Amino acid sequence: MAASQTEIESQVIELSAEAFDAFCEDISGMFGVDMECAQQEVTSETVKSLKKRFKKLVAVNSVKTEDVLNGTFRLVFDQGGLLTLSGVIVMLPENRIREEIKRGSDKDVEKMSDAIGEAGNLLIGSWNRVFREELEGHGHFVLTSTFIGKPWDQPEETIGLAGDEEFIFVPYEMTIDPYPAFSCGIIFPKTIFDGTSESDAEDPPSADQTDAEEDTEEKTKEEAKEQSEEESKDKAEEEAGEQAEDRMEEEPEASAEQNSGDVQTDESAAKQEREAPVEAKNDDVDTETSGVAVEEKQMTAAESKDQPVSETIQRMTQSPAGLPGEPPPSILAICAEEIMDKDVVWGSPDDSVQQALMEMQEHNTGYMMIGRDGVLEGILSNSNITGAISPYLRPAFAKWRRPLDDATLNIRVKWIMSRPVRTVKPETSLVTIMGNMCRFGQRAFPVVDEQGKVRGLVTVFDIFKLLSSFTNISMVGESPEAHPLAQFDLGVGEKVQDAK
Amino acid sequence: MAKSLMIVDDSATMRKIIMRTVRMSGLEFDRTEEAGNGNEALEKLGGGPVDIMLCDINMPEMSGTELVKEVRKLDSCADMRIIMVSTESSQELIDGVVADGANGYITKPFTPEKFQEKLTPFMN
Repeated sequence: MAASQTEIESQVIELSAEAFDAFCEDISGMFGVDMECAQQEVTSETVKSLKKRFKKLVAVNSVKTEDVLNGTFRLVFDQGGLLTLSGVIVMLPENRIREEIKRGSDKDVEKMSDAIGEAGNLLIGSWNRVFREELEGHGHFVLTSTFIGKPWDQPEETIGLAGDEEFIFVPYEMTIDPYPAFSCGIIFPKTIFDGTSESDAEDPPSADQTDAEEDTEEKTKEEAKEQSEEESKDKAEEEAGEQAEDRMEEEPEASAEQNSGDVQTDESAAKQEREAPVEAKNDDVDTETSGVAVEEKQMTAAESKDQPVSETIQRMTQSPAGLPGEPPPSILAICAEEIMDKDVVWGSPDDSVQQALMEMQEHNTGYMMIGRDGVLEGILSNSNITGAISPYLRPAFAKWRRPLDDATLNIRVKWIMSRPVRTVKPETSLVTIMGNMCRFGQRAFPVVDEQGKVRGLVTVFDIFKLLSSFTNISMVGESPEAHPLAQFDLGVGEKVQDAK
Repeated sequence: MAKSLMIVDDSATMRKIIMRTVRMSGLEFDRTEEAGNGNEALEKLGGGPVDIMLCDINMPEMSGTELVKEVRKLDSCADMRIIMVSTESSQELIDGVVADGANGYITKPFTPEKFQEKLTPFMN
């Protein structure tokens, strides 16, 4: 038996709640935020009453559907909502999203129009998934247009709503932590539930088409403008990119010069190590991993400037007697707890890169243990961060910097940390640790006791510092230093001091 | 072995989101390119194929479905893997685009895990 109009209406309203929940989950999963929504009392509204509800700018997504539901319904977000959502989607820093919500200028909204449109797209994706699974006979929702502005004075022209029509309005309060709650809702024309084709009913057929055409025209103009802007920006970026590349190539030497002339980098050696098959199983390595972090290659190699650190370690582990300066074999029997750094820094998987950078900077460390309640989930290194944040955050490239560059500081640590983590035991010998470093291309091992507690961290720098007293290898600087933050302008009014 | 990736989507924001999500998935590409529609993608492919293309469906000028058909006519792109990324998720559409030559389908919204799951088989 076919469902009545009332049954369909209540089922759709119920499913709408599920669809909004699914959207919140999707956004939370994609962008590492906590997003929730709560349905409020369903009401009957007109354009006039909607105007009272939404006094500022709104984003209205018009969604066309045929099948069980027949017509066009609208998903509306208030000004706070559209700025919060779009800010989260392009991963703007928190304070910038707050500023834009507070300011709420047309310019801010216009700047985010592409992201607002994509938020609508993602919303429809979530809705489609829920309705396809739950509503028998559901076809497909199609986002026909996204209007951004104040539509209430010319509702027909802007969003295709008749001025005197009564709608079913399903309001929601949505929250994306840590931002203020915002309002959104669904505007259902009453005819959408009775199978009457919208084109035969109250909604003028040309409205959406006009919107779509206008949108397309505007989009084409915008795209042309954007293209021209993009082209000039691309050119600038290309130049900046080249400069960045040059700079990256120059940096090792530059930093080496800064330090003492003994420091060099060797990325290819690191890569070779990473790609080398693991042939031997080692009991002292507690955890196997497929995603080994590639740490920055900063090493001391006075004896052979071109020789990768891995080869040096390999020679040491294979033939201690052949080491320059011939350290006593007993030194290689020293165990992890004797050389580890006990002051390890912890962070949460949900911390942002920016928070982690600050913490590492404060403690002048190049590594951070990531976990909850003392349980190690991953390890974050300078190179993880370098790989995640935009090079355009460097002051030298400030003029090419875009919101998306700032956004990289908001990436959650859990997405970029190395995991799972290989660890060593407190009693693991130096020679074994060095062998593991070669085998796994890993330059730092957390030291974990039998209870699973992290006792410290052993890095290649600690080992070199030790060995340098027995060999003619000179050691420069402190063991793993914090990320060279001075090169990056965090763009949040907090310039971080140089690690040195 | 080093791989190359092209992201085709008319939204610059979405291209960046996809790029970031791919990076979060842990997959590494030595070369990445972006295109705003099918025509632009074809133009860029003229300079050399990529290993994997992530392609939206609804785009101006040339849609993703048309792009798949055009790409499959190119001998140079015979080995290229094409994964559609779209909010359009009806089975009919997926079947159609796979029949035209797409190798997979990811629906928006997506997660890093989804990209990992769909792209990893093509990374070796």
